[in-house]
Amino acid sequence: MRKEKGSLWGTYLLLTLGGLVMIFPFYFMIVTSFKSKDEAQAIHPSFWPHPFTIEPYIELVRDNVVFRAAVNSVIVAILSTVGTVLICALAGYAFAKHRFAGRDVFFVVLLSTMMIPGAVLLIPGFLLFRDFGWLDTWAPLIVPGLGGAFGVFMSRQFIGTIPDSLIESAHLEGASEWRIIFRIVFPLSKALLSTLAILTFLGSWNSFMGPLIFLLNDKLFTLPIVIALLQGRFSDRQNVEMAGAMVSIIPVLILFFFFQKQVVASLANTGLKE
Amino acid sequence: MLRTCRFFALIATLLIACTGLAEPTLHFWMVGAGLEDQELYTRLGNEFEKTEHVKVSFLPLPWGSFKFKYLTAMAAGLPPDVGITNNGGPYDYGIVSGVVDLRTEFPDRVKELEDRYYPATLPLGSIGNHLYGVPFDTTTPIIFYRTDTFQKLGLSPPTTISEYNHVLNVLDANGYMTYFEFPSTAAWSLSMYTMPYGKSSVHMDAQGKPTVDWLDPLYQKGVVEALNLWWMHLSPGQNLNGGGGGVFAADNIGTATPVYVAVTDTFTELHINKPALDGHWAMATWPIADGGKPYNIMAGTSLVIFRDAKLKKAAFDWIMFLTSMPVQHEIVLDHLSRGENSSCFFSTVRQAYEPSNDAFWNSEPKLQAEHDLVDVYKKVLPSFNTQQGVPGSEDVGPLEQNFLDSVGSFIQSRQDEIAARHGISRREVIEAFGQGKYQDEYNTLENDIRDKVASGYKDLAPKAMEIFAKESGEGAFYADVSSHFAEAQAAPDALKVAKWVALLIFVGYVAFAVGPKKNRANLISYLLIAPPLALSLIFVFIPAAVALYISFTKYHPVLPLSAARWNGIDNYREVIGNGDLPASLWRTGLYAVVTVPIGMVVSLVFAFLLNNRLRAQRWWRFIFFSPMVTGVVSIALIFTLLLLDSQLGWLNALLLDWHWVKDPIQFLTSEKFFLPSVMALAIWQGLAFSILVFLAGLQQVPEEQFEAAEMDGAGQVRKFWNVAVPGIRPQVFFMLVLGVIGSFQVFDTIYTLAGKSGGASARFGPEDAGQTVVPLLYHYGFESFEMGKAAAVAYVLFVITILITMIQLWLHRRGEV
Repeated sequence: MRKEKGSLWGTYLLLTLGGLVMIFPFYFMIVTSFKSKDEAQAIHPSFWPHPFTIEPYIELVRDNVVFRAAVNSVIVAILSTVGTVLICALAGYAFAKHRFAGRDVFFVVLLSTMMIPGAVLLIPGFLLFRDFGWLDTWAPLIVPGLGGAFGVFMSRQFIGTIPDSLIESAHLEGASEWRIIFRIVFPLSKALLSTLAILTFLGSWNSFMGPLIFLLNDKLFTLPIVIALLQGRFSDRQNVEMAGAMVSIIPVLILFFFFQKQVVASLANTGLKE
Repeated sequence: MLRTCRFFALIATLLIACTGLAEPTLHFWMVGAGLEDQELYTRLGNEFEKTEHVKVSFLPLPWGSFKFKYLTAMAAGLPPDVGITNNGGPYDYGIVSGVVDLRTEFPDRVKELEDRYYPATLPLGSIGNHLYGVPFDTTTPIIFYRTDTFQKLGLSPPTTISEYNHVLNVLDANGYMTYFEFPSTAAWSLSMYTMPYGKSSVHMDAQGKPTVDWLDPLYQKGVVEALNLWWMHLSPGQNLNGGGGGVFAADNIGTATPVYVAVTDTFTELHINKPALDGHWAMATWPIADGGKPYNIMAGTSLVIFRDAKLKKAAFDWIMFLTSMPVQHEIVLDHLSRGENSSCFFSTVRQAYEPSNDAFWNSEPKLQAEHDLVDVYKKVLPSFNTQQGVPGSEDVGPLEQNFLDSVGSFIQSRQDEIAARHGISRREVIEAFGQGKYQDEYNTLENDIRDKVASGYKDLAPKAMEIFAKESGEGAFYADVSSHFAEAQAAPDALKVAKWVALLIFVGYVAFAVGPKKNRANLISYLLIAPPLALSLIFVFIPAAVALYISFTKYHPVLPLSAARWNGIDNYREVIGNGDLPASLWRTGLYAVVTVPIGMVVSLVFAFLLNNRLRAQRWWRFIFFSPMVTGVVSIALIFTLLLLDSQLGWLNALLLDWHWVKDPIQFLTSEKFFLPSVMALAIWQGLAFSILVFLAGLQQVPEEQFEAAEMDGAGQVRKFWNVAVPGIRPQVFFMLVLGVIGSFQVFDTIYTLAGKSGGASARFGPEDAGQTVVPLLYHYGFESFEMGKAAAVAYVLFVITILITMIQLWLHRRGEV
């Protein structure tokens, strides 16, 4: 943070212009979501609703799909996050602090999975899940990501910075492996755990292609799918489409506003650790 | 006392639950069903349950993705029991033997069902002698027109295509518009113009071999007429998103659209939503082609029963139930009682149009008002003329659609040229044409259109025939496999082999961890790293290997994997040869080369700006970071509405108001602008994360460096270039790699902007403008279900990703030295 001696009017001007461009779509969404059906379809769009109505939201509630999908998304995201953080952190710890035959080989093998673009795995994944009977369940959305190589990589990098002496002295005192992990390593890795948790949560929350292909029954749909489907179910009711978008965006935005600092710090971590 | 009560309550609940469990559930999916349909069919399901003791569970499917859903469900082995799909459904699902042939499955009952239809309508759901589905409801295009405007201009409703053209010319001359509600990109839209000449795009010839009528002059005449009607007259836009009623009711030039071609539903909509217009409009049936036959039916839905259905008999009962007259009456009445959302429901069941049913049509004022429409169907249904599906039409259809799209673009660009030459807008050019001005330019354009159509089809026809030749054995192959389905499922296939290999590897790992004494001491380490390794084995390596295998085979997922046929490198050859993969790579490259640098530069600038101590710091950062958490799909949805191609879209409204453009820009419906729109959205959304990373990096740059620059008299700009940019080299490299790899994976944005879950258009953007690599993969895998080609595309993507990453790493390393 620098204290600037001269005037910052140029900065503020650019920021304002930029800010307007950033806000514009959100403004459109908010305004449209409160318009009546006729006004939303008017040939010349109005920039403020006349009359202001919450009818689109009522339709959304009647429809019920968006809210159920939001709940589904939360469940899937939480399950993903808890599972992934646990598995990745534990594995990262082993790679960072343990010595065993084949350690580096296994690590490279794991890393190499990051090279494979997800799209390659879509088709055979479909066949595999069909074979397992996992299609039309949440399993394909949660299980494969649990051992994410990126998570293991990041965990190893971070845990590697914990001084070996701490762990060795705990060993000498006769502590069991599990004690070491949960009483020493994890408490010292709060930044790592929260970063991993936020990334996994966001990733699961916004994931689209997986749910699109692996889920068939609308009772299990997650939010992104339902939002995309609003196009088809309410194709001539822009206002309801935007109400749906509001429902999916506003809660997250509010949470983000209050937890800005933490989220931003976590996400920035990923870019800095070299 | 309380204890026993609770005990009995528990028993009672269990018993009730058991009866619920004991009663089987019929799974029923329906395309195009809205909220009110959901309520209607749930009610009907309850009625059905009372007599048949089968519960009915209902799932609505949107028009944009229903086919994907049905085919995926069949491939997954988890289809519903019975479904309502489009008229092409029985063909599409029947050809892969995914639905049952009603005649062989229900030999003693099918006659009763067949008797409910006119003989002319049954072929709609048949392939040869196999009856794969029966039609359910139908709709026909109607020309709604403003009688007052027509009177003012001295026009009468058109009965032939040339009369129709004349009407539109007069309207053009006076500044009035026409709205054609159906996507001109859909194949069935085109058939409205060619079937009256007895010509059909794709059909079987007299010998039962698939062919196209593209080289037939009469067919081309129909196509040229279609192109003229779509592109050479004033129109409020290609997709008004339901706003048709609004422009139809408008009277001011610039908005007034006195001719509105839409489905019969609109009839009721206008009466209910625009009662002020009553008496000022009328209907005309679709004009007859000059020298051709009337062709009135266009689209509708059909009922099918799936091969993997658990309750086939109940499914048949449900179909009989839905097509019985009492239920039909209930459906018609329900559709008319939906307030603002009322519509007409017209069935294909013949009894609805026979004298015995006249009493019903006269029973209520609402029904009496539909008298004219009922007459239309009475006239048309008995002699309904249909075009059947054909193996290979999946790939041939897009050939034609893309071509016609390109001709549309051509027409528009020529109109723009003429407009530029006279210093007017495109709209004014069309008005001038209507007034008879610029005759020479008009005639030249018309001739050019005809030539373009002729030469285009001349090129395409052989390609179509090639595709047909290749696909000819398919139908027989599918039928063959389905008849031995159980054996095929039990037979060994690549996946089974892969599973054994995985098991061996797993055993090997355990042996390695537990065998040697040295390792046994480290057992806990092996335990800790086992989950990610096992997951990677099962969900990454095995699938990757299977994908490689599939890329060398020809495989449709409705069949068991053992039915995959070895194909050598043909998939790769075809995917490159037919231009799809090279085109998609080009688009992806373009996308990466534009979005990554622009994104980085803009976000660097803003990160630099945000690095100052600002007032309301928290708010500024919030504004710039918020797109990051809001989800790609929601944002894309907002942008589809912002970028509508008519005055209805906010962006176009602003541009027109400020006179920055003369005609609305077709952001999402023109091939020129689609990909740039996608790129703009991607840049907009990517800014948040990039600014974040760069800002974090800037905050690590020591204060002194900036202060030193200030002392040397550097202004903001100099500080930016000399201090900020060099200071965050590692972050720049990180974002570069991320950006490029990410741009190769783009899908969600394109899917939503192309409106895939919205309308019935089946492509990723006009003329496939949005078909980058991953959409192409999705198209092959989950739209045309050619999994072999999809896997081939996937592997090419894989190799390219690795190459690019290695190049970037190498460059980075060189840079460090």
